[in-house]
Amino acid sequence: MINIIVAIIGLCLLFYASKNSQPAYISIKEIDSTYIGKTISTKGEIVYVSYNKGHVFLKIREENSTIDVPIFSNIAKFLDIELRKGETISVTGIVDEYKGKLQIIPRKTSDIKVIE
Amino acid sequence: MIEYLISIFSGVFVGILSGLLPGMNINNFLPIFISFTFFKPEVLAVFIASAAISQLLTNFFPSIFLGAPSNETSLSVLPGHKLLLEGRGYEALKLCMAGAIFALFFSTLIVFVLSPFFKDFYHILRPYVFYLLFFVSSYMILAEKDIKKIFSSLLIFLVAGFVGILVLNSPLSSTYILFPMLSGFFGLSTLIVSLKEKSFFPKQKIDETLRVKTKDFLTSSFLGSLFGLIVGFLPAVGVSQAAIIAQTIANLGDPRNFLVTIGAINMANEIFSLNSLYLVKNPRSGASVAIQKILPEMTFFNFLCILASILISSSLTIPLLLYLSKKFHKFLSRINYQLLNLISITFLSSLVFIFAGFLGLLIFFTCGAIGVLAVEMNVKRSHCMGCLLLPSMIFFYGATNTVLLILFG
Repeated sequence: MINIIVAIIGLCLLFYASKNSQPAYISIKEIDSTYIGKTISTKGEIVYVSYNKGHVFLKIREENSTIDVPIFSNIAKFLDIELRKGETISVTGIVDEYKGKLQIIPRKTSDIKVIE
Repeated sequence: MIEYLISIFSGVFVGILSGLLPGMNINNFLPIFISFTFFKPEVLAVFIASAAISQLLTNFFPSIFLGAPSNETSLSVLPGHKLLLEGRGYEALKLCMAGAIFALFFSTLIVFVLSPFFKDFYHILRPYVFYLLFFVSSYMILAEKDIKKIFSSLLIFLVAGFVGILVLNSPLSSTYILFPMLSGFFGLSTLIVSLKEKSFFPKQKIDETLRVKTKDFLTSSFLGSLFGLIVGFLPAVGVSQAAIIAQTIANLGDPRNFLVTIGAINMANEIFSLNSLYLVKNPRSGASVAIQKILPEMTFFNFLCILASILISSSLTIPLLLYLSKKFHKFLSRINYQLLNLISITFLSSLVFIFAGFLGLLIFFTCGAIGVLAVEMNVKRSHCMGCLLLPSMIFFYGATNTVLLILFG
C-alpha cells in the first residue's frame, strides 16, 4: 500500500515540476545528437528564412554554429510576429535530426521570441 | 607507439574507477579530457575510447553484486540478482563478459565489412522504428497471457511511460536524469523486494563453468551484437530498448541467455558509437562527441587506432574484473545480506542526490515504488521499460510535441 501512495504522490510532484520548470539553455554549438528527443532552449541570429506552404523554415546562428528551426504550419499560422533575417530570437523545442542535420522544433508560438 | 599504450592503460584505469560508481559517467570527465591539449589528438581519442569501454564493462560489477545499475546495465540487475541469490554471482558477471567478448569480435568484423554502407542505414531504418517498438511493446505485454496480468502489465508500462515522458521529454530532462529513473525501476525495487522477502546471501560458488548451452550462447550473443549495432544508428533508442527487442524476438526468457545478450548489446553499441564519426559522419554518444571535438575529420588510421584500443582495453579490463569479483565474493560472504541491501540503498540514494539533487531523489523513489508495485501485481518488472519505450515510440511517430502540448499546454 505504501508504495502505491509513494508512486501517486511522486507522479503528481513530477508532473507539477515538469509543468513549472524552464528548459535548460544550451548554446547552438553545444547541441549535439545526445540531445535528440529532449526539450531545450537556445538563441541565435536568423541567417535564413523561407516560407513554404504555410511552413516557416529558419536557420539561426550563434558565433560559427548554426541550427535549423522548422516552424510547421499548425504553429506558423498563429505567429503574430514576422521573422526577418538579422533578428535574434530565442527558441524552445524538441531536438530532432533530419537528413543528418540537427533541428529544434517548437511546439507553440510562445516558444519563439524575438530578442532584438 | 608507447604513448598510445600509456593512454590505453590510463583509460582502463579511469574507466574502471568510474565504472565502479553507478551514475558516474565517462561523459562527466570529457570536458577535462578535451582540455589536455598537450597530448596528440589521436592519443587523446584512444584514451577516451579505452576509458569508455572499460567503464562500460565495469558497470556490470555494481549492477550484479550491489543491485546498483548504471543506465546501460539497468536490465542486467534482474537476472544478475537472481543468479546472485542462487550463489552464482560470479557466473552472472562472466556471462555478461562472455557476451561482450563475442560482440567485440563479431561487431568489429561487421563494422569493418559493412563500413561503406552504414551511412544510409539510418535513413532506411528510421521510418520502421515506431512499428518495431510498437510490436515489441505489444508482444511483451500480451506475452503475460492471463487477462488480469495483461491489464496489470499495461498499467505498469503506461505509468512507467508517463514517468519517461515527464523525465526525458519535458524541461526536467538533463544529463543525469536517466540514472535515477532506471536505478529506481530496476535497482531500488530489487533491493526493497529482497529486504521485504528477507532474502539471504547464499554461499557463492566460484567455478568457471557457464551453465548455458552453446547454441543458446551463440544465438544470444549474435542477436545482442546485431541489435547493439542497429540501435547505434538510432538516436533516442538505447541499449535497454535493444535488449527488450532481442529478448522478445528470440524469446530469451532464461536469465543466463539474457545476461549474455545484454553484455553483447552494450559492447556492440559502444564499438559502433565510438566509431560513428567514421561510419556515419555523426557522433552517437558523449564519448564520440568528445572525439569529434578532438578529431573533426576521422581518418581510416584513427578508426583503426580506436578499434585496436577497444580490443586491448577490453582484454585488460575483463580478466581484471573477474579477478576483482572473486575477491569481492570472499568479502560479501562475510557480511549480512540485509545489511548489504541497506548499504546499497544508501549508496545509490547518495549517488542519485550527488548527480541529480532532490529532483533525482523524487524520480528515484517514485520509480522504485512503481517497480515494487509491478512485483506485487505479479508481473515482470521489465514492463517498467515503458519509461524508455513509450517516449521513443512517441518520438519516432513524430508526436512528441503534440503529447507535450496536451500534457503541459
